[in-house]
Amino acid sequence: MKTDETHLEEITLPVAGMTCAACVRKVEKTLRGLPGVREATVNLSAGKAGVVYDPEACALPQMEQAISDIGYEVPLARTDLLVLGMTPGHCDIIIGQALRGMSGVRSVTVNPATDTVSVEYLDAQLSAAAIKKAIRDLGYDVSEKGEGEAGMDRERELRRLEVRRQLTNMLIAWPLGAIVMLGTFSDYEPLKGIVPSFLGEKLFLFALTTPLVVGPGRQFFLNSWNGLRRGVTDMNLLYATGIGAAYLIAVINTFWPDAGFGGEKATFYEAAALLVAFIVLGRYLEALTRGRTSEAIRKLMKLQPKRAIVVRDGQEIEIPADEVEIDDVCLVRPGEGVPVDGVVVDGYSAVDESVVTGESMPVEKRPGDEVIGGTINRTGAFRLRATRVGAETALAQIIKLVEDAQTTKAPIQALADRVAGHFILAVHALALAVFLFWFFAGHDLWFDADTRLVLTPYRLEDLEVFGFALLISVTVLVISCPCAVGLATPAAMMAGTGKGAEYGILFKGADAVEATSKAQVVVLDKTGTLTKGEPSVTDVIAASDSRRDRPSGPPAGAPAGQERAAFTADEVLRLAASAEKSSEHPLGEAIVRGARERGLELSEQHSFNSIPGHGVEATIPLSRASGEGSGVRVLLGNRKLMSDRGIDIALLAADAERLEGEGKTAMFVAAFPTDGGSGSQATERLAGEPHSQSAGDAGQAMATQPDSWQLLGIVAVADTLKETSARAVSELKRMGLEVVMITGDNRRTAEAIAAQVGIDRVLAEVLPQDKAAEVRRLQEEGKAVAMVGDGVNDAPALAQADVGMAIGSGTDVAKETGSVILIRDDVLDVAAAVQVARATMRLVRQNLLWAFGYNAAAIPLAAGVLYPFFSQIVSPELAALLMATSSFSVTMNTLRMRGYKPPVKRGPPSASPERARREVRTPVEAQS
Amino acid sequence: MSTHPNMAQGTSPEPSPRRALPLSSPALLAAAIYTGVSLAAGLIFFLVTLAGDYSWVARIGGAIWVFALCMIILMPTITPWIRERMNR
Repeated sequence: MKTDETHLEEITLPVAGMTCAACVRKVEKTLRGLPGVREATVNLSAGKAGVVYDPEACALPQMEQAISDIGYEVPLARTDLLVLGMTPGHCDIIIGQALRGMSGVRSVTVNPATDTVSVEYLDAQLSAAAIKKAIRDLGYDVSEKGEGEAGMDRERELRRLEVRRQLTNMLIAWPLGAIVMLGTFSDYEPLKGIVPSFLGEKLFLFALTTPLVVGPGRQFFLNSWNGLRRGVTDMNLLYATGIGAAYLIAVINTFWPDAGFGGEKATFYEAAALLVAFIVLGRYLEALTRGRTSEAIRKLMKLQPKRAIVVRDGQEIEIPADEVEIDDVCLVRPGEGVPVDGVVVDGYSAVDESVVTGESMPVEKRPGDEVIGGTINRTGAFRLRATRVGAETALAQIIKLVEDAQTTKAPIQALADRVAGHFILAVHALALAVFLFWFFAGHDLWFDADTRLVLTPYRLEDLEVFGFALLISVTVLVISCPCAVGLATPAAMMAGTGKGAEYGILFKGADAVEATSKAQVVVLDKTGTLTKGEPSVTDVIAASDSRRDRPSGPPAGAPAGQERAAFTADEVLRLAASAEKSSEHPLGEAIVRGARERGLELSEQHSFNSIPGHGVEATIPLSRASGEGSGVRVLLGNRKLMSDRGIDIALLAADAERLEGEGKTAMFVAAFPTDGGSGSQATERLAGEPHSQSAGDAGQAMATQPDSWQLLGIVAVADTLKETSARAVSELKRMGLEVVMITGDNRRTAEAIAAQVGIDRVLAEVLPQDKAAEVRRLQEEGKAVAMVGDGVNDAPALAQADVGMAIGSGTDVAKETGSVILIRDDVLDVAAAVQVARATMRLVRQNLLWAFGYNAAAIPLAAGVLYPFFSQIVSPELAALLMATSSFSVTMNTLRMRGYKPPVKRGPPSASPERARREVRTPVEAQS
Repeated sequence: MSTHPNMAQGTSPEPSPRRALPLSSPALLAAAIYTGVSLAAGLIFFLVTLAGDYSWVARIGGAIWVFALCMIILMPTITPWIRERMNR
């Protein structure tokens, strides 16, 4: 993707092997240190690095090499292809050369004997389809080798390998560590007499601990050294320092017991051994659980269909889904996945779209209906014509959107990042300070010969000042855990955005999640959000009817000419519909639809002018023979439009008020003959239908007053409220949010609609271009505003709001504005989005509280603040156990999100005040 | 870590990060500074312990530990700082 600076490019690289925030900082720092790299942002949970770079100054292999140098890996995608027609010694060379020349290809293995080609490539730069096309362009038939092997998820594979690697380390570390521990405490009850004495021999302990340190523990030394060489630090350094120091003291005390490090009784082999064991246990548990936070997105990925049955030349051919082309006709049988996005051309079925929209009920599909790739066909068979394929499909767009969101950082993460980024150095500095303090002051002041290690019978009476200060210093290094701090926010965000996607709620970034959770006011656009956006004509009142209803004639002040207007309701509707014929406004479309439903024939237009927020003006020819410019100008719109043109509406004002009071939109219709003085011609043409007596009368009326607008009547249109609107408003209010309705309708109509759904505050008569200003006004009141509306028409207001929610976007999510996209056209999803966002932020806060709280409590404890009172210090191995459980706890807490269901999706709201208290959180709480 | 085959063939136009650096390189200058400062810190620790009643093991062991921690703290601090200054 090109950035604003045209020479810069942006790429997202997968990075495997990161375990904590320090790793993030390490990778970011390394990438930023490369020439030509402008920006590097790493997301730990997603395992991805977004890099903005100058391709002339920095090549991708350099980035891969740099990442590899510091102990991580850029996982490569792999595709295994079956290539037919290769001959050994020639074709394999041609294919190999062609593929190796492609940007992003890292290795090619061609085996003509088995007709296979295996390609490893950087999927950020290249796709499997492009590789297949390159081979096909060389003249070979190519297909995927097999479904099971094709499209291998390398990331998952790497994770599996990491799990296996850490499991192997565990299988070495734990038995050895357990024996070392038994040996160390063999002289203490209750082990005394049970454990063979040779296990306590120092040389035996040395023989067991050494392979443990250089085996499973080796990774920490290597990785920290690689980082230090590049000027970056990570958790490995803490581990390496701790393990190294404990092991070194033990070795010195074994071979040089009089060196003053505590002698033979302070060998600490069990500290080094158990440090390795616990750290490896932590790594193993993390490797097991880390990937599960992104399960939702994995589910979506799994749904991407692999195969498609395409009808070509009347034959059904099964091909890989990524080879389906636009306009291909695909057959979808019951129980199969829909291979690509398309339009049903024949057949009938019910399709389960829950994976994309969150809607659990299958949706009926008939010819002409759109179907979404990845959804499941339930009942009948149908054929579809492909409209979007590959990366353009809705599912691919949703996956990309959620993945992109998961690489962003929430504002709340800034503090955690700052802390985690400097954590390692700060802990080492603290360890130095602690060492100096206990060496020069603490030992003399408080050392007690009865000193014990917490939860052990171990006594440290032989420990001299250096050994004692060093032990505490090492424990400080080991107990601290920046992993938990670094993981807290991204892991929760990943879980939250994934959970949102399950319900058709797409957060475009972590900042959107945070902003949604903080919203205090929800502004709902009326048309299309609260209502179905499909209004219909409910009433047509002709001015003549209105006059006839009044025995005393027109109201006082009504011009005398109005008495002469004599249009029937149908004629008023016909003129209004003719004027709206070119309109794309829902109200205009409703009028046109209403006229056609009544069998009225619409006139062509000479001109059409939309007056946004007010109405339309159009010139309608009166007959084909009339010539240009001959016709009638029709004005259709609200009070303000009539007032601007000086048209008196007094005659119909009462009718309009009545209709508006019923929640209907009343539009006045006025006309003006454009052929000026030839009023009689206009009269005849205006009638349009020679047999229409009433129209003739009307024409006569106009002819007598050719120089003024003539009020003809009112067309009332009403939109139907969505079934869930009232419940959604009630839920939002229950959650402590202020709900505001915004609309271009006049106040009376707007308030009638608002009353039906329970909204108290209405912003009425707001022109489309003024909606953003209204949102700004609310923000100036100090409120965090969420604007919900149509992603296209309300784009400025969505952009102005603290969080813009585009509702009913359907499946073309890439085109939508707004930071939250609600795929379904259901306003209840607004409440669900706020609930998911709040749950996510609650998780973030819990994680951060735990991570910071753990370190804030554990580090002073390890530094010996309680030693003067209890003469006990934390052992390095206990510190390692606490450290390992800390980051594991954060991951486990995050996994709770997997079972989360937004309360609004659980069914009707409970009347239980207790439940309401649990679920309702005020905006102030949300911000805290 | 594994190296990709085509990278091994030298497709990268930039010098390898593993290549030996010239004497005037930022890395060497940084190494001289952080090693010097850490040695100084270790030496100061040692000299201070001479004034007290400490064993030689404590003096030397402590000085080494101070030196090691100073190296760990200064290496990632000094290296980017020097690199940034020299690139300016």
